[in-house]
Amino acid sequence: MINIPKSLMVFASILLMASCQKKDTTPADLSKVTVTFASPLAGQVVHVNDTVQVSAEVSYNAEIIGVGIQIIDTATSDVVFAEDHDLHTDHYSIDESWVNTLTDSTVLCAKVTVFVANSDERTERLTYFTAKP
Amino acid sequence: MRSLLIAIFIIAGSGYYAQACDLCGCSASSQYMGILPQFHKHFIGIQYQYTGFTADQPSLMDPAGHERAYSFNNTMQVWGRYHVSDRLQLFGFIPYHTNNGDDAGSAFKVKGIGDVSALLNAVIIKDRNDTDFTTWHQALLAGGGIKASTGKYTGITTLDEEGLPNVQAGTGSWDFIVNANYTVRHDGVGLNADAAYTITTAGKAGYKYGNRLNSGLMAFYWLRKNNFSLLPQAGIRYEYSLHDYDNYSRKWLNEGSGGTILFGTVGLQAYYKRYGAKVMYSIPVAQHYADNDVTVKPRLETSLFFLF
Repeated sequence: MINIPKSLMVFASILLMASCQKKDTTPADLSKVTVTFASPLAGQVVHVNDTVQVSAEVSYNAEIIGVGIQIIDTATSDVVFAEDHDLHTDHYSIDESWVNTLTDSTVLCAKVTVFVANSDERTERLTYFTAKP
Repeated sequence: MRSLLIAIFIIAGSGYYAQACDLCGCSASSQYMGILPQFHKHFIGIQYQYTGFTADQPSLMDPAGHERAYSFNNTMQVWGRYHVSDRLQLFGFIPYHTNNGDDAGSAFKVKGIGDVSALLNAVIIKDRNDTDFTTWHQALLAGGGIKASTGKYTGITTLDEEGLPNVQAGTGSWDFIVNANYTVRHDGVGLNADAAYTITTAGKAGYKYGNRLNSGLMAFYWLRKNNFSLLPQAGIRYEYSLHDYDNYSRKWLNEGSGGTILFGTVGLQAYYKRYGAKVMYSIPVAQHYADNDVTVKPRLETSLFFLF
């Protein structure tokens, strides 16, 4: 004969045990974020209608929860390109493209912003290049 | 007539949660067998389920901005019951999913066979003389089963990373289910309570969907005339999903996933001789899912049975 109260206790115990959730609590250390730009190269010159490839490798010793990619006109602070991605990884390959429509000469900044787990802070890496008509 | 009388002891099938689109979105989507007829041992049926959700999340780079997504999930499922013995019932499910949606302006469509499941339930309590309408009757089933990783799964998607319910045909994981189901009835009026807990495992990509509880409390009334039976029913369903792990081995908990939903549910079942049909409609009356970034929509479920 099945002991129903005992069975219910076992069922409840299974639920209780299966409801525990461990979490990686590694303290965030933003200095350990690395961003290696492959493109654009510092000082690179692009012209109107050129396609600018933003390629970079992002890595960290724990969880990266997101990256943002922006291209900013440093003369006006206008953001001419922006993209972001929610992530849950320790490495990510950025591969974005933007067609230069700027008709004036200006210095552009490619900015990669990295968000990591267990931190409200963010870290940024920049590279500068030039747009010319 | 006798067969209809025998049907009086309606044993609700064990609640069972399939996470193809869980909390299915699954969301938070869910599935349960509901109240099943007992006037023939076996049955086979086809079931259609519709679920959906919308999502509105703060943008990563600009918290004032928003990223929106939605998904509408349709599942056609062949399912059935096989009486292994008087004390054991085996249930099987073969779903086919068609999911459409949009994530921040990018449309997606997923279709294919989902994760196949099987449940074995033991009849722990069942009255022998269940044709008597004048006395109390009760039944208790309990058991468990497995959900196999048979559905197409392409790894972690952007939606997964954003904490949204899975919209892929499969989950990429083998999961285990334990369940219990209790029904009590007197003079055609009955109450059914069920609970099922799905213990998930990590898939090949390391992603682990959160364990899920699916429970319900339904009242029903059995109307009978000649070979016809009608069962109007109403009640509530409560679903609770733990957080997903983006990488289970490294314990990367996705705290933007998981949550709770309370549904108000109404439905009707009809039987004529060896044929049955069911329609159920559930409306979320309270929900807190994915930090309130996800809104689960009403659900529709219909089913046709052939009993043998």
